[in-house]
Amino acid sequence: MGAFLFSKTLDNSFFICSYSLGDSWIFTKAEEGNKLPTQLEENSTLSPSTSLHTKESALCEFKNDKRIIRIGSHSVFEFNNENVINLTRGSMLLYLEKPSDITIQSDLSKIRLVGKFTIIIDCTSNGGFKIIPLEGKGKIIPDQGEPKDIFRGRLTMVLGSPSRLGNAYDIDLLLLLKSSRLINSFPSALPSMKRISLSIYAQQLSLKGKFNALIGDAPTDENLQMWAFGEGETK
Amino acid sequence: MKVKNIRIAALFATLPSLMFAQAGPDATTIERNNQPPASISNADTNNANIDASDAGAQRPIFLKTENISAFAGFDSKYLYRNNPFSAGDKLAYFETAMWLNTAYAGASFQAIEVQDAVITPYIGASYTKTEYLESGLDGFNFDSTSAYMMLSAQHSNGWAYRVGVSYAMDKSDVNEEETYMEFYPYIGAMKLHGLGENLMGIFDISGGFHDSTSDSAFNISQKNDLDNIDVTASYALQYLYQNFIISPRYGATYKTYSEDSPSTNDGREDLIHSLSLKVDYPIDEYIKVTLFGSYSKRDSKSSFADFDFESADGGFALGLNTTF
Repeated sequence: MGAFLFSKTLDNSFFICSYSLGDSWIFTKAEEGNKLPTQLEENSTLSPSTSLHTKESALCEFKNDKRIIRIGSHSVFEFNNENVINLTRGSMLLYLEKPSDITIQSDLSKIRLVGKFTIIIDCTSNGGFKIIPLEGKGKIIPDQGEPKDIFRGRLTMVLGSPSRLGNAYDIDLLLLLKSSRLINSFPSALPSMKRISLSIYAQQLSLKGKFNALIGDAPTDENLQMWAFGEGETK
Repeated sequence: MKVKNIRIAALFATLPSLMFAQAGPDATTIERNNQPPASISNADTNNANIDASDAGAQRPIFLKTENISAFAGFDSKYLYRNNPFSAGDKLAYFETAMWLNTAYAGASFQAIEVQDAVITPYIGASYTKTEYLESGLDGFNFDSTSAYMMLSAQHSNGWAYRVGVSYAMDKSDVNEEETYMEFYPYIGAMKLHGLGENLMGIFDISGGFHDSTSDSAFNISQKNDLDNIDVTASYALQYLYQNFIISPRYGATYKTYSEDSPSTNDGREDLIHSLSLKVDYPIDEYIKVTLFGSYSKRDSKSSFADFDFESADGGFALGLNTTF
């Protein structure tokens, strides 16, 4: 059994669940096309063409020898191979230990991420993504238009199909770090936590001011929700 | 640069140790600016209280577009010091109130981000006017000018390393003559670590070489008598209680004087302990008031004179600063 688990850990076509909180289910596609759900537990294996559905307040983490994937609540996640990930709902955090070329796709949009980084991907209602790099270097490559450099703290919208890059917003990394369950609500810290802290330090050095607003969902390609709050709520 | 005129002969009659190396205030114990204020080089921790979510709160910010960020400020300190001239003998203490006014300005340049570090160049300068408020001591009033350039490298391992060189000069207020000047190349390292939600520990170690030119009392010693190599290690706590920032600190400095005979400091070694407590109250982004107190003690090994002293002070300060 130990040898079996060991071989799976080294095999990049599988991810081993290293942490699970709440209610999450793995759907395995049977030969006749029916999906047979099994509840996700620690040490469960996620293989290609299986999909993971997380429920309210659920969180889980998968590891292989090159990357860590954390999935948020209300998410639907699957992967075709280790470099093609489907996230059709919800949010995920991706940590790459080595330079890689990853494609993230939803039902509508598709984006290539090349480099070595820690990044949060948040699905939006318009079928696109919000890409939020926490640290690292690389490129965000859409189907259409010029690629953009991955820059810590710069949220970039991914819109439509074929995908293109929308507006980009510098966001407060320190606040994101304090408030993100994908970063904070796991028993072990991300291996890149020190570099994320360095990103926050670098951002603070060049910080000029903060808007009293929070970025919300993008219901359409033309609209992005912004939630304003008063000065008194900033302390 | 000449020997300072001694205006109060009686003072020196009771301060034999000062007669040889320390005409008036001891230049080796004066605090000098050789790095930017902590509020400039440290990260801002003021943030909105937002509930947790999976991806986290996404608050838009705007970043500086200029490659240079300037800062300037003014500090005014009013304090009582029981031994301002570092006398060894308690009978020779001249307790006095003091008023120190410092104007400073500086700039940081665009940070250079490398794999595991962020390197930031700083330059700065300050001017301090030190006044003794006790009647008869005003002849020792002096003005200090300092300037520095420094590279600070924040590493992902949590340590912040710094290397720089500073210049400092003291000038007598009475006769406007330079009494002390030094160049000080230095290196240092600092690590902050969290000890609780509102408590932080700060370890700092630094060292350098004071290449000095000073007035030599009664012209019996050399101009570079006060050249020394120093190493300082300190540990401070910073506790945030409501709007107060409470900072106790202990530091130890070892100095070895580098001039050989006939220098009066040939073979001299100092160990200076200092214990301080500071309570800052930021009124707003630009203004803060501070209450502070400190105690320092020097144990000196010297074949020429006794340089041991103890000194305590306490007072309050008003600080104004702004960034551009």
